Amino acid sequence: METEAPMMAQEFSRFESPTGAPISLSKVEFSPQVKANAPANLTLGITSGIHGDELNGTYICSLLVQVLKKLIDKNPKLELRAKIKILPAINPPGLNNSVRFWPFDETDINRMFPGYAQGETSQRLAAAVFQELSDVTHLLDIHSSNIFVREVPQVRLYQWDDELMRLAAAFDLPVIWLRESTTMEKVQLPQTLSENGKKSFVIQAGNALEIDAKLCKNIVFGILRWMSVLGAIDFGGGAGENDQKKNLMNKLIQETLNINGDGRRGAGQPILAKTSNILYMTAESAGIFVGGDEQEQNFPGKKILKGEWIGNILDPVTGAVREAIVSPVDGYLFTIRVHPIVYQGSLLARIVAKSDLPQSMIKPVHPQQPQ
Amino acid sequence: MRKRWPRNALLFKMIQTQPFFELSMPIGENLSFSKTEFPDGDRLKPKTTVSIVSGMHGDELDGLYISYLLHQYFLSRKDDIQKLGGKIRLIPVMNPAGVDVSHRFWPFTKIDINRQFPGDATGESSQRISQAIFDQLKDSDIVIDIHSSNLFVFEVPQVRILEKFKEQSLPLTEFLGMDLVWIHAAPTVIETTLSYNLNQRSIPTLVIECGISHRLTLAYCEQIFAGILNLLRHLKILNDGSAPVRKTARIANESNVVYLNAEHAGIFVSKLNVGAALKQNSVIGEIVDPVLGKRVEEIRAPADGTLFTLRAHPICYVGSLLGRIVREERG
Repeated sequence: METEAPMMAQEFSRFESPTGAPISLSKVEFSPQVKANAPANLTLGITSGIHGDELNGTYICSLLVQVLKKLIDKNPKLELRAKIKILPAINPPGLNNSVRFWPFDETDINRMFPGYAQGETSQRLAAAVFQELSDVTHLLDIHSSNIFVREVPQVRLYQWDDELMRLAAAFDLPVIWLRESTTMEKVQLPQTLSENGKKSFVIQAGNALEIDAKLCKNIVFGILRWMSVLGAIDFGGGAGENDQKKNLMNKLIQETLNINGDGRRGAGQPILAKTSNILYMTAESAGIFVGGDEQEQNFPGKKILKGEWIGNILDPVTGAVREAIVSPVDGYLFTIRVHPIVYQGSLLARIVAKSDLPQSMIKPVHPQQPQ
Repeated sequence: MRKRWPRNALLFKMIQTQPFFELSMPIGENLSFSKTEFPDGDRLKPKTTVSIVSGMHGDELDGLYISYLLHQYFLSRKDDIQKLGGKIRLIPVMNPAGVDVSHRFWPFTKIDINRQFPGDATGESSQRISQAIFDQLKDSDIVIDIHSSNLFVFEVPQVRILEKFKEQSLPLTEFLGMDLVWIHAAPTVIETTLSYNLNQRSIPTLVIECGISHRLTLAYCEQIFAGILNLLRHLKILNDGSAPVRKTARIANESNVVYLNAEHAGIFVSKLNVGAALKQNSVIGEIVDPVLGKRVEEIRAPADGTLFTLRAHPICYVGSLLGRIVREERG
């Protein structure tokens, strides 16, 4: 039985800074202990921190490192059967300066893939990350919402088939979004890896500039479940899929994560969001958007009825109501605006309608689809 | 019978600066996007329409001043206005909110308006703006889109053309009097720019780049102003008694453009000005480490040529663009 050192944390690339510390890209790698029974070449990449204002993903990655280490150390019957590469902080200057983009020139690293090794440092960084992930078979890239909206935790697939959807369901998040890529998005990390034959998953986890510890634990649970479904980890309890095995897995994860329950955020069956059933509600007036009230808060995950009042757009000087926002459909509120300033066309909410929308209500995919 | 076109005072009154699009603001008056049109002196339907636009990026200011120079020129030549052989449309500020806060993009969402074309009238602000601009320019026969460089590098006045649209654009550049015409292939994202979308509709659109962001480079503004007038004379739109001058500009393309990129991070200090003629191996500049107090790199010209781009921002990282050279033509 071959064994390698199970866990290794190391720098895989570094770039000079003009006057300060070098920009260092790190990874934590878990090497499979058991080569037999391993799905061929299965290598998982888990990434985060491309946007420096999205912090849940970085915490999820670091928590996953801790949990995997404990699971492997404390459970001799547990088998790691695939290599796992975790890259928690892809944009160190962004994270350190708490800005979304590459701080020097405000460019978006997630529009630079596959990168360019002879280019600007930001392009070289993208190239180094892309190169580091070249041997992965499955990518999970973890993001949070931007400063404008709150969303339910969700999985996004930019390419999908039955297998990808089955794997996405393993995270057990409330929504799986089958999302067509815009022209600008084709140079993002997941899309460019998909072009190279990898299977890519994106998780939107919580809000920008904060860490939701409970959500992050739930997502780590979901990631471990995904790894189990992929065959990357065998939690023990014999061969085959059965309830006993699942219970054992849940128990081990619960103990290691110090969490009650099975971490499921979805209701067992994720809601499938796609172009044909997502209603985009946008402002027709500028002003301040005030959603809900004391009695009836809006929250991501709320069930919405046709005719239900979502909020008002007000004149910020006089307080007059410029526009009342009312849902035209029954559905599930999976995105709600949190940033109060709105312009004409600003996104207020996204609702997954109970049934497919008429053509006139479907929003076509545009060159850039701001959140 | 051809309709008699109004002359003199009436014609002058038709030159108006007016908004073509308005965006509601959360607080305060609507944001107006304005144009000025100088009508064809002879015809209700102009024979040729040239649109000159600028200020798409709120930190690129030369185009605003060039537009002012053009506007002043036309207003000061009352007699020639009657003889305009085509329509001239000026849209000096395509991103007034950006210009007012000196921000490149639509400031609220930091979205690049020049990646939203052809736009969407029901979309987010930057999409509505791009749709309104595109709508205005669709009837043009020629569009000139004036940009300045970004925060980092200084550029000589140049026209940038995509290889794909070379046939329709190159002949016009011979009258613009720019230092350089750069023909290049395009990455995918360029398909959402204003110039790409106009060129796709067979409207030759010349992108002029010059100078640097956040500044006016007056000599370049004068050069571009003179070049546009020259082109208008060639097109027989401006009939002011001066004959158009034709001069083929230096052509830059993949085969003769050399990029200079930093191999170290530090402070870049240039010894030359942009536009300098270079001999192979001559010193262009150096990169120094201010903490250790030493020089870490010397940048020398790899070939004879002209330095048409030069880094102006002193901070550089590994890979940062320091300059671009168009190599001397071999005889």
